[in-house]
Amino acid sequence: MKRTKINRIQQFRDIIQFEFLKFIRGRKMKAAVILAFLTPLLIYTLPTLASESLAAQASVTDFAITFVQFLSLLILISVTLFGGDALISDFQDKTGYTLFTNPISRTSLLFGKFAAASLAVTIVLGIFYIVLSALSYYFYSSLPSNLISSFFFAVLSTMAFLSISFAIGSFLKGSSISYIAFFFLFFLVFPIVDYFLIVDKIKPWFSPTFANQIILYILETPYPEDEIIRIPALFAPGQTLSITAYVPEINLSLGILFVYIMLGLIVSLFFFQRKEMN
Amino acid sequence: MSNAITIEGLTKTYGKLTAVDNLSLEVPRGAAFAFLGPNGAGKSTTLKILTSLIKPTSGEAFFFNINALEEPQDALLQVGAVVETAEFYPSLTPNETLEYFGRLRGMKRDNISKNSRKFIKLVGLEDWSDKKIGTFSRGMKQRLAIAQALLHEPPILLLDEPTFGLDPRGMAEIRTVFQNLSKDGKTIFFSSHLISEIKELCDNLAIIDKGRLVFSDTVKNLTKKFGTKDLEEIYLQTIKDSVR
Repeated sequence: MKRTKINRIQQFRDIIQFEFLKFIRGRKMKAAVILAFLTPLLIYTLPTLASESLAAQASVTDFAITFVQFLSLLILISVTLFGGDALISDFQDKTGYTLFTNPISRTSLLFGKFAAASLAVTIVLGIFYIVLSALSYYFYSSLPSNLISSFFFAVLSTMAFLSISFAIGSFLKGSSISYIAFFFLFFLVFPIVDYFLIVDKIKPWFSPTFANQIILYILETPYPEDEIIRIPALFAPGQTLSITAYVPEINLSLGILFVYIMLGLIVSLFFFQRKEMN
Repeated sequence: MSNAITIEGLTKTYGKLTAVDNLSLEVPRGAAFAFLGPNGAGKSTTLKILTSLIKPTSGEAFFFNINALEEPQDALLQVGAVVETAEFYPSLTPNETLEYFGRLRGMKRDNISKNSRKFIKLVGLEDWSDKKIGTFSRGMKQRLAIAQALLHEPPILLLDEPTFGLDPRGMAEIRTVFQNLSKDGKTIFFSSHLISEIKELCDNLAIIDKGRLVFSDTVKNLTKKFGTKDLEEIYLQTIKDSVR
């Protein structure tokens, strides 16, 4: 009777390799790569159609900021594609009936899937930043000074969002409901919470969608600070309203995103370990 | 412990429904053991518990002396399984699928490669080994499921209706495979609705109904006890008695 010990680290590596292979061959990766190419090209082309060239911006930094403003949308779509059903598909598509009869560690499986999804989304983001760099260099013969930092924070934000999407998927049974829950959380719940806190003059430093904004602000030199903006009050002529434009602090936001990565994975692991293949 | 599989007081409940009810069973080493019962009797639930797909409400199960519930990964190393209707990743090929599962089992690459060729040929998929599984029929997936169960040459095979989805020729081929494995000393524990299949393959039989074991014995003893060699008659008689 054989009693071979299973090497969890080796399993983790094998899972990354095969999960990534599945991504490369699947439609999701093709769709995400096309989006990553098209998004910056569309951002550049559409204003040109209205006779306004983005290349006429004052600096390469302003030029890059215009593009990175739209990056959160690409991040959310990519996370939904690669993370939305990562912990559901084996149960829903019944591949778990063969996968889980192998001596596989659920911990290795979860971390392997997370690493593969992170790698896939990093490639998608990389394509976006490469196209942006090419356009920046073509029009300004230079690159924004903190573009690499912005890319690094974009990857970190993506991992935090992925971790949350894994946590959602770990206790839901169907991929559709998981996609809806993720979209609901990131397109409604977090933005609404951010908005009302800001209106109440409370900085939403703990919100992942707020912390995520460092990918944009990091491009500015020097890094901006919270600012009180006065605007004319619509219904009280002669008076002004003050709105605080909050800016996420770099170190705090890094910590917040890291906490979301850890929390999401812990929650995912708790439910995924208990999920049964009924 | 001389048994290949030992099940002690296994129970699985879903709310008020008891799918498996205090089931105890011993499967001797090297036996070809049929697990028979009507739909919803608890056969698949038992096999799912044995393969760690679900957790029991209570009870214990052992492969040799390894506790399948407390050390599931060690226990699954002893087992090759086909449970329910097998599905595979559609973008991978049979060769890649077996490489993945072989690596998850800690097999060496040259061993995976050798056994993949051997078992893909055995189940008749050699012309399809590099084609994506997404294009496969139900029967072809079932053949691949059998190949993955055999890949690491386990001493125990757990098979839930293993010839499901196969055409008559495929069923006959796969039965021959199991007969040869049984002759080689492998323990085969399988559920089936096909009495003819059981007649051909098994030397031991257990009948389960409403989650409870009705009886378990060698086929030889059963035919003696019921005074007939017709397993179908024995089965129907047992189930009828169980319903009463």
